[in-house]
Amino acid sequence: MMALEEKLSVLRCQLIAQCPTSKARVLKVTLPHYAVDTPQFMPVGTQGAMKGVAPAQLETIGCQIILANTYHLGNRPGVGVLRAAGGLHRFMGWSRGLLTDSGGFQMVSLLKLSEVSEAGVEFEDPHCPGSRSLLSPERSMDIQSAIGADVIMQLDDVVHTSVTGPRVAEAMRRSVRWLDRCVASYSADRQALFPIIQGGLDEELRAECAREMVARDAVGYAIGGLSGGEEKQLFWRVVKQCADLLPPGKPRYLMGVGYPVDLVVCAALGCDMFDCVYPTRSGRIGTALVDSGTLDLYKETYALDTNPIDRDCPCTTCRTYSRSFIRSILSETLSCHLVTIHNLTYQVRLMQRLRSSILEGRFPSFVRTFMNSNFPNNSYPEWVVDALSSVNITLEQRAELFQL
Amino acid sequence: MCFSVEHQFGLHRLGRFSLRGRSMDTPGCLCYTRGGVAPHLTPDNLSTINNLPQVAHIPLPNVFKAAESIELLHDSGDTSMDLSSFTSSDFSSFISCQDLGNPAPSGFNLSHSVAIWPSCGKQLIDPGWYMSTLGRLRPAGFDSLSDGGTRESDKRKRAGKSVARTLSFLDACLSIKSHNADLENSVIFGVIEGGFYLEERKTSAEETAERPVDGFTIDALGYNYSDTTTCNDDSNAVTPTFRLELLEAVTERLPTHKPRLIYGFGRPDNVIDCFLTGVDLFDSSYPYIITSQARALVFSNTEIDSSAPEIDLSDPQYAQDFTPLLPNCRCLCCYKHVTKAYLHHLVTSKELLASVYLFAHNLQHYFEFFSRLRIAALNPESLNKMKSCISQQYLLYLSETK
Repeated sequence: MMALEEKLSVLRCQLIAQCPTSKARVLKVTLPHYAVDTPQFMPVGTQGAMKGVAPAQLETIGCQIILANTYHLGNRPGVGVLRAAGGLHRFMGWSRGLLTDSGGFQMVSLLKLSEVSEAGVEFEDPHCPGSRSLLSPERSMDIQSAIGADVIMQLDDVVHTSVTGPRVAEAMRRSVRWLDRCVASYSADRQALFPIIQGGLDEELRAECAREMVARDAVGYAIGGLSGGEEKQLFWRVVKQCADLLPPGKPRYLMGVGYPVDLVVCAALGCDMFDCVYPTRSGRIGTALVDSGTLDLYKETYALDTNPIDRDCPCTTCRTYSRSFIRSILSETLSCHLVTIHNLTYQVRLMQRLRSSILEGRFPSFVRTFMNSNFPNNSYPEWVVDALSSVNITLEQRAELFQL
Repeated sequence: MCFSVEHQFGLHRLGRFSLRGRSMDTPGCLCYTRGGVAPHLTPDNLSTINNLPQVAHIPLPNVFKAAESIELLHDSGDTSMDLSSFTSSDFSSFISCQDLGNPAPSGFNLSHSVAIWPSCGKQLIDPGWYMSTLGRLRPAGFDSLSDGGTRESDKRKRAGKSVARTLSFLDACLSIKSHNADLENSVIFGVIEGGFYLEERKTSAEETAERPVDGFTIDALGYNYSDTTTCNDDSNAVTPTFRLELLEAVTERLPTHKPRLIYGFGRPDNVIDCFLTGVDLFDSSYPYIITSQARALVFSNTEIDSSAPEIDLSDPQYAQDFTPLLPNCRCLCCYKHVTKAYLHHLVTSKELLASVYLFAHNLQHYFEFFSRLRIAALNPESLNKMKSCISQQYLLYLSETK
């Protein structure tokens, strides 16, 4: 177990403000490359690039930390090139925060022939049919070391939330054992390793996992195994339970979340870091994010709409082009960049607005206003109402105002 | 008048081309666009390019959707909308019928209409449709409708038809223009056709020169990057030299005080040859096409060294090459120390960012080349030196890649 001072040089966490009503809080998480404000959204730059957007543009947007995928980068360009380049920061020209996942999830979800054993994830390299390779906790640490991100994730044994039975417990306990193997082999002086809480949708398994992992005294924790399409009423309960079990003085990263509504709710439940492909992926198909939801720019109605995507948005897209113009170039790759830049700006600003509301003591009111824009006429999904009320935020029920 | 000659040296000259308040020095290239704006580059990235030409080259096929939207807006009462306001463009616009960045198949033109290829599929357009669309877009300048569907191997008869049809289209366009208030202060260029036949080219030049046009576009003579040599019907090998002979026969029949624009001669050595033959303006689809092939322009304007003028970033030799494309380049790619290794990674990973970086570099380098050419052209010695430097690099490169 490394000394506290060594760990602190890699990640220092300060509590800046706590919402007195809910569990939301603002942290300052100082990493080797950058000091990150939370709650924070991390855009996903899978292959060591944000699709169509250069690092200088990400800085202008206000991105503080981005995510890259170990599985993809391990394949191409590979550990050799990454080491020769001096790590991904230098390779791609990004100087702020970087987080990598372990590669395990991608492998299991992308490869047809992968098998999990105690040793690791066994797979057939798609480039060498018939071969067998192993992604072990040690190998994952090695690839993540070559990438050189500020925050790295343990290799975990992930099961889909639809899986039930003994497999869930087996995966959770194996994840704890793999955590110990990761701890024994990572670059503790350069990178912050986050354990990942697993246990499916089972309360007891989650509690056991949290207990074990918190005992390892990491500098931050992730909540994994969710955001796989499970029922939202189950989803938020697991998120809340895990957040409550994790130490308050350390950042909590909720993996794979998500849509703007999910970000706001889970921030209220006490989560600090988020990642999702949603803003970038939807940007590439002409779907723009706004407070009231989304705009599908392919729709005919936008042919006559000479407004920018969002009048209040400071991004270069909204300051220059109209919805109608963007619609007319949806067959050009430029439209992907324009909408992606807007969507990233939207998500980053949403988090900034959310943090400001916590700092100014008006987070519940921010949540109410946001949910009103997203769900007009009280059409709030039940899970949103329940999740927020569990942390003392009540959404306006407009009909009540008309009751005599 | 949209053009003034500043210095005439024999056939070639330095000049100044102005359209609706936007000017550029010649020899120069128009700024190739897609959908009315530069491809790949968002406004912040575009603003990093030096020497960006102020006149946008707008191929009609790729602003089809924009034209539809503008028509809808006009129908709904917003008649002030035109192409420039729709695309929030600071440049003046020059519209052409075909898209050099997406070369169209030939063989589909008819006697009274021309085939164009927007993304929605082939459209046959006639002067009436063309001019009424231009009336809505209100460009600062445009080509007359033309039949440029002549290939090297086409027969003389086909070349003759391209001349006759184009002259007939020109007369129709001129007539419609004179009655259309929306096009009152747009300039119109007559288009010189004639395929690869000397007499046809001469006829086209002489006849077009007699019409009240503001400039001339020399069409369907160029190629951007293939050096394959085929023969025309008279068994003349259509070599680069032969093309230039045809070009010279055209330019010496055009009035000196009007600008000459040429399509399809974008490779730097070809640009210089055309310039020396009396051409003022070029299209800039070349850097766009190079980028789509994952190639970068790295030729030198001043030194001949052993390295190639263009490199292919998909080549595995760059996988661990941590040097920039060019050492002193100030484009957004090189200036930020983006390396060939990273570009190679982006290209092999099929990342969109590859085109953003490559295009920014290629545009910067291409416009820099024109800027240097204008300076070199001030005296014959420096011009010869630059011509020799560039043509030698490409000669070596082309002989090696065969």
